[in-house]
Amino acid sequence: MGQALLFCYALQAVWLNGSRKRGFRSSPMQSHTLKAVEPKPQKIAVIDDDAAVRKATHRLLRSLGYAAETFERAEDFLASENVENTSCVISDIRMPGMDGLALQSCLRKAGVRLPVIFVTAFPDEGVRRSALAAGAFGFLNKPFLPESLIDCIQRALRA
Amino acid sequence: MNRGHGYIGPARVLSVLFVALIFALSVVDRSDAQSRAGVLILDQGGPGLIAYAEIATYLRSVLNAETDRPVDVYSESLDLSRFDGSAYRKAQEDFLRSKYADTKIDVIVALGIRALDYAISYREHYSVSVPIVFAVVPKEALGSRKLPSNVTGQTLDVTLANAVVVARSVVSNLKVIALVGDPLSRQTFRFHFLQEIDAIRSRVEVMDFTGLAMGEVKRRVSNLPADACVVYTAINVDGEGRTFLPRDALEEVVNAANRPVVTDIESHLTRGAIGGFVVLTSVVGRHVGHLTSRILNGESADAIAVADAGATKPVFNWRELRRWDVDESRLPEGSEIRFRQLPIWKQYPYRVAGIVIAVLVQAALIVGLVFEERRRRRAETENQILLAEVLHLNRFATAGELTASIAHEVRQPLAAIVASGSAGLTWLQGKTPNIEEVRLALTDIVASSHRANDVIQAMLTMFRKQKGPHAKVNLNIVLDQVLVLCSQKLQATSISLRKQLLAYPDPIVLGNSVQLQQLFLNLVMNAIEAMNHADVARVLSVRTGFIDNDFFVEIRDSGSGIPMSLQTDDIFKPFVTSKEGGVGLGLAICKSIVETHRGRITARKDAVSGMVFLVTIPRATQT
Repeated sequence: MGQALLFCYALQAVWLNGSRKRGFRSSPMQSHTLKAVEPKPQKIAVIDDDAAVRKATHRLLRSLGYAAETFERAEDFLASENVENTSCVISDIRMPGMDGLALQSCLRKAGVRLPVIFVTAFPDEGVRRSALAAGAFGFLNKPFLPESLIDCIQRALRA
Repeated sequence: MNRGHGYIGPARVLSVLFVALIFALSVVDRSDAQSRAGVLILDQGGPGLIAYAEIATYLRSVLNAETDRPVDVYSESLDLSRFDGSAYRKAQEDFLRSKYADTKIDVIVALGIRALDYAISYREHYSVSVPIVFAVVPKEALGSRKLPSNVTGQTLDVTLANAVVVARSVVSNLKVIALVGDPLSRQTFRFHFLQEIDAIRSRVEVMDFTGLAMGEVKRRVSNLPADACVVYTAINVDGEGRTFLPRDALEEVVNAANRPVVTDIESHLTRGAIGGFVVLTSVVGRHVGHLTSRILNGESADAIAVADAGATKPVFNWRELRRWDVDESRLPEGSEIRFRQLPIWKQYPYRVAGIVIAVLVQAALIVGLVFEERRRRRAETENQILLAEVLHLNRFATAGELTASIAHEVRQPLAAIVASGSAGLTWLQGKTPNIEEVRLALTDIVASSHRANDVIQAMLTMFRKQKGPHAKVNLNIVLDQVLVLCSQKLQATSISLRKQLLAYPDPIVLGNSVQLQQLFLNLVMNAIEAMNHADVARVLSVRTGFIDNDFFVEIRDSGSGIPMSLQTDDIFKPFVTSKEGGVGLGLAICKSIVETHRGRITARKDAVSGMVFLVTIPRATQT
């Protein structure tokens, strides 16, 4: 967990850097509206510790014409260079290391307005409520209906 | 010369003094003589007759107690039963006279009628006036004769009728009496029996074996009818002239006789006689002792009346009573039974009690042990049943914990299947279907389906109640199943898994796959829980290998180990746990399963941290 927090702060620094490049005016520790300068990239990040699920979800997104990138761990995603280029995150909840909810709160703390869709094989009512209250764009149970996922993605990308 | 009237001359004085002196001396002399008493006992038997000796002993003891001066007691056996004749008598008298010439005799005690007659005639011959006390004289022997003065004594009640009474009580429907002994006319103690014979003959048949040679007597008494009884008097000299001690003769007769033998002498009871109205020497001795001491103390013999000593009493030998199977209630009233053999438990009560207690305790122990054995067997069977139940429940309990894990494990492949399937359909809808992608998608679908099935299979295996004979089981496969079941839990708790399974040869053992799955599941779950609060990196290491003739499975964790208070042996005991709320059966079940598979399980603390559990199971032999 300590690692995750480090990532959070590092991310914050990177994002702020990136946002200055893009001409965003930002103040630390505050979320603010973004003015898009360039068209929003449509890269979707898929984070799941199960390889088969990762692969299949990637396949699904590709078949629908989206560009997607997969990560085994949430930390890997946060450490990657493509965080700025990502426009949506599809993540599992229960993962070794940083879990889905921690990722969500990390992004929020860093002021990163990245829509998160949760897909989990562990339906828990309390987790569902916290995730939605924290602003998740979807909370789906595995095996999910592809239509539901697409619907969530479209809403997320419009936001 | 004439002196005056009043003058006493010296010669006179001297003579008076001399007379006075003599007088004084004689007085002194008399008192000396009176300080000790002398008693002479004359008995008519030969030496060796116990009865007279016993009487003398009792007499002495009474004299010592009842006289006021010391008494010297002398004894002479006149042997008048065997020796007689005037020459003998004369010689005997002379012998006594010279022997006791200088001895002071104050009383003569005569034992027996012959002795009494002898004493009386001796007194006459030698003009001695010594009181005579007689004893051991039957009333009938005395008859109506007049005793001289200075004679007193005691009589006895000895009759043939008494003997018949006893014979009747020991032989039911008595018809015959066999009379054995010296000819009655010669028996000084019993010659009055002759007068009774006619009266007796009117009631029973009397076979007269008196005066016969011993051999003949023995022959006759060995052939007696069942309703007969032998009455033994005394044999001193038999028909052939052979001499006996009466008690030795009795013993010979008893050994030859086929019927019980009645007696009237106390000492005969130990020689085989069944019993009878016997003369008690103690009573005779004491009684005559009393009479003697009365006379020694000054009483005149004439003043003491002759009386019966009351010394005859019915006494029996218990052994003989038993031999002839006599009912004791038939015996005369007041009968004394001697030599009663106490049963062992009365002779040695404590020893017998000890032995009985020991035997009973042993018997109780044996019975107890037999019951214990049965209980043990029953308990063992019950135990086995319970163990199977517990194993089953354990499986369910673990399964319950793992339900979420199992559900999760099934849902993942399903999600992958749905996503891939959907992607494939999308690709097929396009203008130019991307067949290659569809093929890849379908391949993945198949793989995921198998994976889902594996999980379900593992779960089913766990729930299957397997009781069949042991089959060949591959430990690697079992471990893989277990790890699949636990995979979600491992990931959820951030435990990294290191798996090193033996590739060659396949670790095949003979066993029960369900139980082995349970075994490893318990160990892995334990390992996971141990690492729950670990600060160090959480690593679960599972290794299979080959050592000697066994395959081994090593499960190592990096957890907190077991508490200091527990030994590594203790943790396998039932109900030993360091988990809060834990039952403590998991490792006990593991041990039980391992033992069923003829293997061993050990635990040791790792040098750095955590525990290492090692399970060895013998390899399956090629059959």
